[in-house]
Amino acid sequence: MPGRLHPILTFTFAALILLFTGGPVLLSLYGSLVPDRVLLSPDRSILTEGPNFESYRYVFTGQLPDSYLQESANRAMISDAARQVPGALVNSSVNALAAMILNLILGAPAAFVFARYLFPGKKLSFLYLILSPLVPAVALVTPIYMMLEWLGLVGTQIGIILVHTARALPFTVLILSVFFRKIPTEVFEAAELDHCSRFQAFWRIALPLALPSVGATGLFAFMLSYSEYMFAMILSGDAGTRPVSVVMAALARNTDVSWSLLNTGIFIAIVPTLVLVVLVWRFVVEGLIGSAVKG
Amino acid sequence: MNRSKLLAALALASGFVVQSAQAEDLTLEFVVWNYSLETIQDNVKQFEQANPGIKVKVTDYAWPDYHDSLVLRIRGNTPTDVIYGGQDWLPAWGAAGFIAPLDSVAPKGTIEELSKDIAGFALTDVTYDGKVYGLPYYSDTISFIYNKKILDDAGIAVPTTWEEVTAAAEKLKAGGMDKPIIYEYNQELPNFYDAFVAQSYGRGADLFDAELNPLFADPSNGAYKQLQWIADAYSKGLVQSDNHESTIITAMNTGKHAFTIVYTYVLAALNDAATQPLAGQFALAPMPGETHATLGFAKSYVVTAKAAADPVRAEAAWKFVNFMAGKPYTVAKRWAVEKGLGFGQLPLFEDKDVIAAWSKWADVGALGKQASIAKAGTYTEYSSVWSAYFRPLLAQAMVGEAPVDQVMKDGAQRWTELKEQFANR
Repeated sequence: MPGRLHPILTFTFAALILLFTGGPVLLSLYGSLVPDRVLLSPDRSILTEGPNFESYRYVFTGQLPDSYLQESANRAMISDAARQVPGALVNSSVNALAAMILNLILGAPAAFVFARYLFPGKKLSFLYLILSPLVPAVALVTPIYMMLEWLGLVGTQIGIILVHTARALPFTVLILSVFFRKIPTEVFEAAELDHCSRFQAFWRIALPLALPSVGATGLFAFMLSYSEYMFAMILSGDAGTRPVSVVMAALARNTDVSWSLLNTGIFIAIVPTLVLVVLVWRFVVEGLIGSAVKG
Repeated sequence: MNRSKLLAALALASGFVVQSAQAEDLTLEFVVWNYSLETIQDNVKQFEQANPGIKVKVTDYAWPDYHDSLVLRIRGNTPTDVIYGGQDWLPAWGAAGFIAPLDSVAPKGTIEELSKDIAGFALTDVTYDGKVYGLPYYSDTISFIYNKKILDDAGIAVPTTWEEVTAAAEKLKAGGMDKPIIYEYNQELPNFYDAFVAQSYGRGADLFDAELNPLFADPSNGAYKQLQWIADAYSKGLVQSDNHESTIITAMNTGKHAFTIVYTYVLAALNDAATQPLAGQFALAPMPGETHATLGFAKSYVVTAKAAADPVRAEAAWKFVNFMAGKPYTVAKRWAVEKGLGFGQLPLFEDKDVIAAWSKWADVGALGKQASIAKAGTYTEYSSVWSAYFRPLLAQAMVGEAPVDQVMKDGAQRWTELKEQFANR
């Protein structure tokens, strides 16, 4: 068929994509299932030694891997930062869920107003909102830190959630306002004739029509918050509030982490994320594309 | 009557408020980088049990983010009482008024007494402007490490000079070992400069004089000679570059390299039976050169100026620092025994538990000897700025991309410029 790629080429491209996306995941799984001695030895492998789950046991229970209990073992290389991974996953999920909900509560009405009503300063405020993500995040670290310190929110999850909400809000407003603009005016005129207030028009008509896009933007905000590192790093005080992005950075960059433990931490951290992405990515894409083409 | 009852009730209530405030625990804010947090928390717990009325809240950051996060905390007035300090940061923090000399919080004469037990290089590292600002949390040296088995098999004696290192490496290369020396070559890391200084110290060199004038651009200076030596070793194909000490550990454990120059804690990792296939084959030798001196460094417990300004917090902060790093050195010993961390408190080199624990991966006597002759680096408010400028030049000279004399001249010139700039601030 003209214009269609040869099956071998298609297969090659697909294999390459799989290699670069799935390869690191499989490597981290492999690295987590063998002790360092096996991982670093040219003569030994998981096939000769079998899988070993001691690093997972350490992460979830704190019980040292057997290899660290033998004579001449160096316990400096068994970092307890790895034990923060499960708790950090919970923290990240809480932060991201809260940022997502706040984004929708604040962003959806704002987008509706921007899309459907005229008011003084509309253009300017919309531009301000939309262009604000262009300011490099690193330039905002100090002022935001100072402000949150003044509010007593440094070292709390609320501080992180507020910043993540603010970082995602421009995208939420932009995407949803595009969708709301595409709903035919006649729908709202008919609602007005039926004595719908502006809020009722938003709540009963616009929002139900926009649900796929609302869901997509919410998930987008969720993912932005889940993966954010810099603000989470400076604003989280201790392990109790630390999200997974910060714990993973510590694991990857500290010198006291064995390869096996690092791989275990990586695998535990990415699996829920991968599952989430696989489950919701289609809805995100469809919702976002829908907002662009409907109308 | 009612009014007097009301006043009495208010007085009683205010008494309760005052009393409950007095009874409330004082909480110290302790900021650390997150190495072995569980041990830190356990040490803190033991301190709290021994000091009723004082609580300690630990906040930790990853090592690469620690310095910037801490400066942000202090600039942002986030309560911070006791911190981990680094030798290279201390002058800038002291000059900025972030931290307080320990004499201002400790009972008179205590710091002088404790200083007698601290290794010379570590004491220099915790001293700024003639005052002691910290007690060592962790101290280490840079070591010349070799593979005993490879040298024994090849019939090579442990080299004592850099010329002997060249001869040994050439012999191994002739015997089939492609790159006998593996070198941490990463101009982004301070280690890169530190390892060079350690080698220069081995030759007996000083890089700066007492007035902080650079000496290394003189071809007769040991640092100049050492840079020339490294460049020669690279040009002869004896050296394998490696990006980081963590991968040097795995590379040395392949048996394809015989020598490296790294922080001593790497020796513990090299000989780690839990992770390394060639564990037990590695040993340290005195740094090659005429004096065998090397570079030592110390990380320390430091009290912030803000804590020192409040007498109650200052007293609590001192108690905490003294518990963590003072006599009988229980916490320093715990780090050494359980985690293999180096220490600046010299009496611990004679502690039987430390000797028993460390003998599994090192010759403790040799380590103690190395610590006693190790020298501190030169740290000023501008040394980190200069180091960032000099490291890329150093890297170019090592691999023959720039002439040694030009690199040394440029480095000396930049140091002198910075020294003048900071003197005129």
